[in-house]
Amino acid sequence: MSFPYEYIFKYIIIGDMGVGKSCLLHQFTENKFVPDSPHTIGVEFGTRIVDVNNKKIKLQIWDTAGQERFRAVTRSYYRGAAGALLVYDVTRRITYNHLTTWLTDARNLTNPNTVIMLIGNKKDLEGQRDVTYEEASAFAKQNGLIFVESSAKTGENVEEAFLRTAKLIFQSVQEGNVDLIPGGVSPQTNPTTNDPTTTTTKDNNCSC
Amino acid sequence: MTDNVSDINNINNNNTQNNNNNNNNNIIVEDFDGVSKEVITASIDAINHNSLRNSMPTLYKSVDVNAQWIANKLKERENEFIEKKNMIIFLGTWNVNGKKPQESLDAWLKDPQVVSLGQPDIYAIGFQELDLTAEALLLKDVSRSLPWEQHISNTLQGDYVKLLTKQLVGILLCVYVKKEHRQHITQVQSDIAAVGIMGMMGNKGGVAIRFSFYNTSICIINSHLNAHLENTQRRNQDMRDISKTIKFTAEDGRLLSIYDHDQLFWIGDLNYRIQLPDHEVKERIKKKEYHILLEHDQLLNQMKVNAAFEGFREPPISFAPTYKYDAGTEDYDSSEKKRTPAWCDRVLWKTAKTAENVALMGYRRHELLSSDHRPVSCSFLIKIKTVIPDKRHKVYQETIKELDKKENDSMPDAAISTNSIDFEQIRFMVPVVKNIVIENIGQVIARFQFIPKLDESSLCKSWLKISPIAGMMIPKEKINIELTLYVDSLSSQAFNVLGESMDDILILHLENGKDYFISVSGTFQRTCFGNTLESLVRYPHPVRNNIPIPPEQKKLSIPKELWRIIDYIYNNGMKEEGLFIESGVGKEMELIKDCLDTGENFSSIGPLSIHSMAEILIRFLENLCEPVIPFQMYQQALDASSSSISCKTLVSHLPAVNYNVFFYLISFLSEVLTYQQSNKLTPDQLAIIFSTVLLRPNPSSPQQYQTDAATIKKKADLILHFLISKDLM
Ligand SMILES: Nc1nc2c(ncn2[C@@H]2O[C@H](COP(=O)(O)OP(=O)(O)OP(=O)(O)O)[C@@H](O)[C@H]2O)c(=O)[nH]1
Ligand SMILES: [Mg+2]
Repeated sequence: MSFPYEYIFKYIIIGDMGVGKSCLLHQFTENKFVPDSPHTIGVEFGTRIVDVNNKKIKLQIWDTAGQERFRAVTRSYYRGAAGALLVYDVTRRITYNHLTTWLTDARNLTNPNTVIMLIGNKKDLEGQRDVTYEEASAFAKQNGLIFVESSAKTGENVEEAFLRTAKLIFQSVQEGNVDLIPGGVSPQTNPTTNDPTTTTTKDNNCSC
Repeated sequence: MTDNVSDINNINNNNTQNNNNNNNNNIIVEDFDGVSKEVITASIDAINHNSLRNSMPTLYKSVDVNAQWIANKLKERENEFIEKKNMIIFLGTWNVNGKKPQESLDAWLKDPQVVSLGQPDIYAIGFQELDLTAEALLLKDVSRSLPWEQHISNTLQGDYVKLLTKQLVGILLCVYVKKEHRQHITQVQSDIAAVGIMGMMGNKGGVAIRFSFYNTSICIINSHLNAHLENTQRRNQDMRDISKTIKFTAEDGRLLSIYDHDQLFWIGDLNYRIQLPDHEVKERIKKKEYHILLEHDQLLNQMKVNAAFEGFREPPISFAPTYKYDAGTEDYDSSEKKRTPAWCDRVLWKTAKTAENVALMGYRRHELLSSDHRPVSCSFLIKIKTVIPDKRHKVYQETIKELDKKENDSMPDAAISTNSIDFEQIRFMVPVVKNIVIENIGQVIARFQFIPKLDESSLCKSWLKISPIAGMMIPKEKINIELTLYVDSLSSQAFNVLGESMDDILILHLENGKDYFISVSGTFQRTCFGNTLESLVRYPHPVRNNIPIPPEQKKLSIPKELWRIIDYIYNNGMKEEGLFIESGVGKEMELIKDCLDTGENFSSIGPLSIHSMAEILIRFLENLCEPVIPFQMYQQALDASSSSISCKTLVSHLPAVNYNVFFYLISFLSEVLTYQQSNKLTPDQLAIIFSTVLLRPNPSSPQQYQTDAATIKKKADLILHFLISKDLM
């Protein structure tokens, strides 16, 4: 057996409902835009293999429900994330105002080395813009986040958002900032249960 | 290997980094290098597979199936990123009979008939008998080739660059290409095959040059085969020997024969003759009756019977034999030997089955006079496939996406009938069942399981039951999941007393797939059943739609519901035989409960069995979240039961409300006993009935299973003391 990739990075996508988290995922994994995307009630899951510095990296992306009533439940899924995409909707200020609470969750529930990327989505709706690029950019800077404005509809900057995050994670891996924590993930939300290597490695009669 | 988590201890942090920097877009097979096994779970789940490489058995060659799949897909879609271009290849051959260059080559290489159709992209020019000296033969001196190369360069001028020249004694092959193509030519190789005297001296034989021109592989052989009319079989054998001897090496180390090319050209002085008398040949040449002569051409006849040059083709000849002239003249051989004219100088080609055939552009001889042969040339059009890097990249990206999509599709997927279940009105101890249907809408087996939320150990709240909690579905299969909502006296306190809202979120997890959240909600109808005495005395008004009075206000001494029940029995049923022994009517009891909770009059129910009310009294007491004699006094109570004094002391320690209720009940029961003659009840009977509901062990304690006769008697004794001795209270 061989794997077509060398690393797996887990991503979570978080942010208020309707900001376009699921659309970003679909755009990234399938190049598709779903205009009437239903609310995510649960946690969806997508993968894609990307190239970073000539390494094949498998991104394992968890798209969470944004509705307030699921907030407590979705917190279970932050663990083990190498990257967190924190999304707001540039046409709805309220989604921007909620960023601090999302960010607090992300910081509390993930590893200090987790790369958090701020994404202002729906940039195609320029006429309805409610949050300026400058304002969000300043917020990102203050909080040490990388920032990009994207459109899951046109696809603009979608690749860029996922790939920049992957690059930073990869850099962090290379610099040795990623410490190894044995068994740090609870079984039901264990990101590696979705990891194909778990099954393929079983086929290999290796002694470890 | 077990699983990722337990492998952590085996991790070698100094993983060798994979030196896979080969991401050249022009290589069709993308290099996925991942033949490695060990898995690391980092805190951010970076998993590096490289360190296991050493544990792979060396004999086992892994196949990168993904890369293979991608390569095949790209091949299928080749048309989208490949552009076909016509290229002209010029093949020329000349036996120069040992002469040095002395006349212009323009009439051959720059023949207006040739170049008017387009400047050739490739020139492959073969010479024979470049050097007839003994030195050349014995010492392998190749100095004679230089003037000829120089001469060609001068003729072709600056537009062309030399790709390679290869010489075997007198046989020379030179390949020139237009400058612009040079960078698209790879894998340039050459080889020689000598078949001359003793099979090794090289006065006869062949030289070959191969290269990849864009993505088309081309091989050219220039040969000089054995002479003389009668040597046809020797020539055939020479050809076979040369074709077997010449070998190249492919990129992957495989040996390539001349036949492993898209386009194969064979040129040279093949030395085949015309099998007719000299005078007839010359006669027919004069009359240009070439077709008759060609019927007797040895080469064509050998090819016809597959005795040589199997699979090769030759363009039709429409020119006079090119051998043998008196040098410098236009006369055929006038010497003693009187060689019969022949088409010694030929151009043949063979296109691989998998490649697109060439188009013929002209096969002709050229009038250069310095040798005893005339040079010959043939030009062909070759369709070359060139990759458009941008378009190929796009197709590559799409292919990768398709693979990702396939992978995403191969994850289990399920549809659930609803994400939100509202049980609406929920009554105490009335189970309600709702169903969810999960359907496997993916392409693989789906295993599902309800999982607890973060930091919780149970799948759902205690008032909900899920069945089944896990299962498996083959594609298209449906499974019904039954959710039962049931509030008993253990869970009722949350709603009756603490005022919690009734909702929960369930997580349905698909193995290797997504998670679904299912919201469950209901509206609990607050009731005096499954309540606490402490709470009920704070409701001067019906519990259903009112809120309790604040602590500072005066509370009731006993729950009004208890008073209403007892008052009813007192007024309607004290003399009833079988009171507290016969069962009530289920429907009536539900209505009574409603009246108690809403404040409605019992009379609204209509005629009512007294036994229903009697049973309601017992149920009310039984369902109190905490019995009249609290759980923590249970053991004390059992211990005290043998002595009436101890019992009195125990009761005096009851909380105020409990004491009131206890006192009130005992008074009532004593009153019941005064009608003993009618209702036929004995103190023992009442003591047994009421002791089991007034004195209960904590359901979570092991004592709840003490149903032995001794325990039952102890409980009954406690009550009995009070029923028979009025002054105990
Ligand atoms: N114009 C525009 N509309 C978008 C864009 N991204 C998403 N939408 C629309 O916004 C709506 C919500 O998108 P979703 O991706 O479902 O939002 P979500 O963040 O996943 O929402 P929840 O699943 O409820 O948390 C959909 O109707 C999309 O069509 C965008 O970039 N531009
Ligand atoms: Mg969503």
